[in-house]
Amino acid sequence: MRTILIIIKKEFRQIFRSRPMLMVILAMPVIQLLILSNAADYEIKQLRLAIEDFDGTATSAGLIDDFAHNDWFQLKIFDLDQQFDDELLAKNKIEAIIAIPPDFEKDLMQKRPVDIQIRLNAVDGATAEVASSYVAGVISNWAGNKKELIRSRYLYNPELNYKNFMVPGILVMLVTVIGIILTALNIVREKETGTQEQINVTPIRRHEYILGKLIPMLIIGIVEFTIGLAIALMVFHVPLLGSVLLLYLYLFFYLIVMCGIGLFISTIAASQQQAIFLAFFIMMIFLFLSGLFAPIESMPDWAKVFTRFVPLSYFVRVMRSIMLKGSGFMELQSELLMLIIMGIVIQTIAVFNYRKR
Amino acid sequence: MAAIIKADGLTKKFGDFTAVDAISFEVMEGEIFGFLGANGAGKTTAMKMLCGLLLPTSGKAEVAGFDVFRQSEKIKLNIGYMSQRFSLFSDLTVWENIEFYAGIYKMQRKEIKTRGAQLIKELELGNQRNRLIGALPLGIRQKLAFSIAIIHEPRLVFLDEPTGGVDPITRRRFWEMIYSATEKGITVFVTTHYMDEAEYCDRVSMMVDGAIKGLDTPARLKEQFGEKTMFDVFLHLARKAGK
Amino acid sequence: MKHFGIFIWKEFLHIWRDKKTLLIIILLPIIEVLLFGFVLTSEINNVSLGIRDQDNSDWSGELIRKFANSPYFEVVRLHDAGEVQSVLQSNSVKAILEIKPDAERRILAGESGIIQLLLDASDPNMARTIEVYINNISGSYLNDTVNLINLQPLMYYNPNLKSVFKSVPGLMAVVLMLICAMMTSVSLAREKETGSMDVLLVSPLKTWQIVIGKMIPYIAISYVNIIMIIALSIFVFGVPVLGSMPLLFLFSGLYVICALSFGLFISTVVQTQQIAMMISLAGLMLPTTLLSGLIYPIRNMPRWLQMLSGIFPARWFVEVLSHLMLKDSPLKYYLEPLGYILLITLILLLAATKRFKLRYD
Repeated sequence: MRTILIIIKKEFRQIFRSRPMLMVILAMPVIQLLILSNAADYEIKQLRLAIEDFDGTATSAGLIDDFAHNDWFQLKIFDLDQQFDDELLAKNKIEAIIAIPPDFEKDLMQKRPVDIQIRLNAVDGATAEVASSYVAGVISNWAGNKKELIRSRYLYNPELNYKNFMVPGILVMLVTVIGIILTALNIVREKETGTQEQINVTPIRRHEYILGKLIPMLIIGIVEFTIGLAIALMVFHVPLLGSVLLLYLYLFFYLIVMCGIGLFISTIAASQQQAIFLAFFIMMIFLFLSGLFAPIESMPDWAKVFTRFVPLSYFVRVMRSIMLKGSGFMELQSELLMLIIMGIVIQTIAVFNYRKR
Repeated sequence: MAAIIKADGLTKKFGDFTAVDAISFEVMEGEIFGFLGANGAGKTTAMKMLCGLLLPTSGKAEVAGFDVFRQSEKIKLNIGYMSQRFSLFSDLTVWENIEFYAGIYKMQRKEIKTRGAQLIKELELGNQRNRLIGALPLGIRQKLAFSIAIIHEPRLVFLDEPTGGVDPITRRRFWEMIYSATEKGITVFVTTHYMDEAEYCDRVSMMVDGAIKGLDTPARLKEQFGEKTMFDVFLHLARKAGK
Repeated sequence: MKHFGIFIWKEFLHIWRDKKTLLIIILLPIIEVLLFGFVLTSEINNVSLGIRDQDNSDWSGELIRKFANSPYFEVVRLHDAGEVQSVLQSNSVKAILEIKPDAERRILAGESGIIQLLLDASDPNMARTIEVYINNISGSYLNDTVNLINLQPLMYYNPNLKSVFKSVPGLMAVVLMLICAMMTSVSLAREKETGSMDVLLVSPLKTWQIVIGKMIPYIAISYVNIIMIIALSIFVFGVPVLGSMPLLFLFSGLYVICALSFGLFISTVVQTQQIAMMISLAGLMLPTTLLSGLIYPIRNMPRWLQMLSGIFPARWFVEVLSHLMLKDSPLKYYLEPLGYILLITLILLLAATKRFKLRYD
């Protein structure tokens, strides 16, 4: 026990002594959190439209009007009997060109079908598809004389503030990155410089060494998270409906998993370089399979299965649920269970792999 | 005098390559035992096995009365270790290193304070206790590393090429420290490739290609091989091995 | 010149000897592109939709069937009002449709709020998307006029609407950037730490030769990556290269040099390998990914952030790639982003060389 404390003391002394290291652990994540949270705004905002009106009637004008007044669109140009060049799409000046056919009003009045053509810049297939849906939505709404079939209510985030969604996610990602890399590199570095050999010849036991290394990492992770959380609450005004204690409970178990992964990497990497590339590989998978930016709901079924093995996906979900929805322990039980199980598994594997000789 | 190290047919193979080939020897308590040989002869491997850093492939060995296979943790409590490659944390201060190692070897806080202060006084580092190790010259680092290696007064200390890279005078001073340690009853097991240092040892063994080719006092070895210096003895043995 | 050649050869050997890292460097992009190419879409697939039907008529049943039969949703029947809060909080459903009794008649009579859609807006985009899809599916349920209108969307450049079209160029940019930066940032720092830097400095090699020489082997490796990613893109994902292949290779090379310079610069700024690596991974990963246009359209960002994203070459390269691969645009359309990449490269190389000299001469 005392040995563990001695090791922890040494670790902290080494970290605090290195200014660049402190910068990387504290300043870098903070800066990234502040800046990058502004990057995310995936909302299909302000789709730039061009409308070709080949009908020129009050009806077609009414439809154009609906587009003009809709927040989701920005009507850039519309004209009568004029076909716009595809170049507009190629040069990324317009997202969609809508063509209202001639006899639009007449046909509708006489209950005959009409064809509305929409040319879309589909390089970003996703945006194009949603854009297409939005256009359909406006048209459908206009055609239905605004008879409301379904009334929507946005819960938990009525202003659709994307930052509420992003900030907790970015925060978690940053804590993850530092957690894994710091743990992995720290231990591998000692392997490389021969420090580990010196440690191995002392009566320090394996579990004492590992605990002595992991506990500082845990503490640093918690500190980082706290700073980030403070920023989220005070700078970005992200709500915190649920229990802070619960949040930290999940954080604790999550960090155990992260440090476990870092430890594991350190046991299979022979050099710092190998360690960082392994960490990179794992991190990229986390980044995309965690529902951080690309929603899990959108993924094909096989990918959804993969996400179940990514610890980050659980923690991100928990963060958002506790903060934005006020979810409690009852609602998030299975996530806790998964994190604990993952923690046990990865730590066992890592510790088993780490040998004193 | 009892034997503090007993090795019997100690072997280490890495795949097909035999680094240490069934060596057998004894080190007596209180002596300075030199483990000589060229680089790659296997001396560091042998020493690592005795320290509990490497698991032997076969053979037996007992260090400080404990078996290297099954009781390596007990061995570690009773030995000190210093390697040229690394001993002290260069990003910690003199005092912080003392505190760390003394604590690891289970010394009590008061003891650490007194012994540490004594160590600093002996090495004349009074005004340097808060200097980072990395900022100290190599000679001081070596002496400090040695002092810390024996701060918990182990029965036996292993030194792996401890005097690399410094001038002969500094080396000589280092050996004076080794002598004081033996006076306190500490057995010193030192590997080196400086043949003149062999003269300072009570007994030396010569390793060539993983086997011990000579083991005796320096005087008797020189007599045995008809050479004037240990260096010549070494050349003699190396030539015999066909190098 | 001969010294230069030997130096480059030594660098190659270094890399070749570390097989584990080499394996990761080559395998990583393949696996990432394969994985994410299939994963990154924006449609929705089997999203859990809770439905609380208090109407229980044929009409409501028919409406519900429409949702159940669509690939977008998976219907979960709810019965209790109390369930609503907890299923949302436990993430079991992402939206709940509540249908009040006697719905059909009341809606036609002009009453509002008979069918409510409760959306979990903690993910605002998902909420909007779900809303739009639900409205589209149910849109024609009441309205004949709506049924008359046929929408004919024409998807340009991407007729099959593969989301992967945006991802492959984006992934290529991000992955190359990170790998290259990490490789070079480690390289110099390691020489410093192991002391072999002095050997280099004593040699007759000039500073620029050392800098360039370190990059050349990595350029070679990166080309292996580039070829593989493009091959995957064409043969596995069906993302074509409409523009000129030689140009694609040429400009990819330029981008690689840029990314390598990033790493080089980092390594001249820090003391240890560890810090160099932490900065290149922890410091570059999120910004490069988020500010490259891979996930979020740059267009939507605040102006100051758009300018900041200009520092990251990934952003420009994604533009170049989408022109080259997907649109076969004439060169003049993407000259600007290319120019930025070139500019960034030059600045970084100059800075790195200068810092290098400063430290050691």
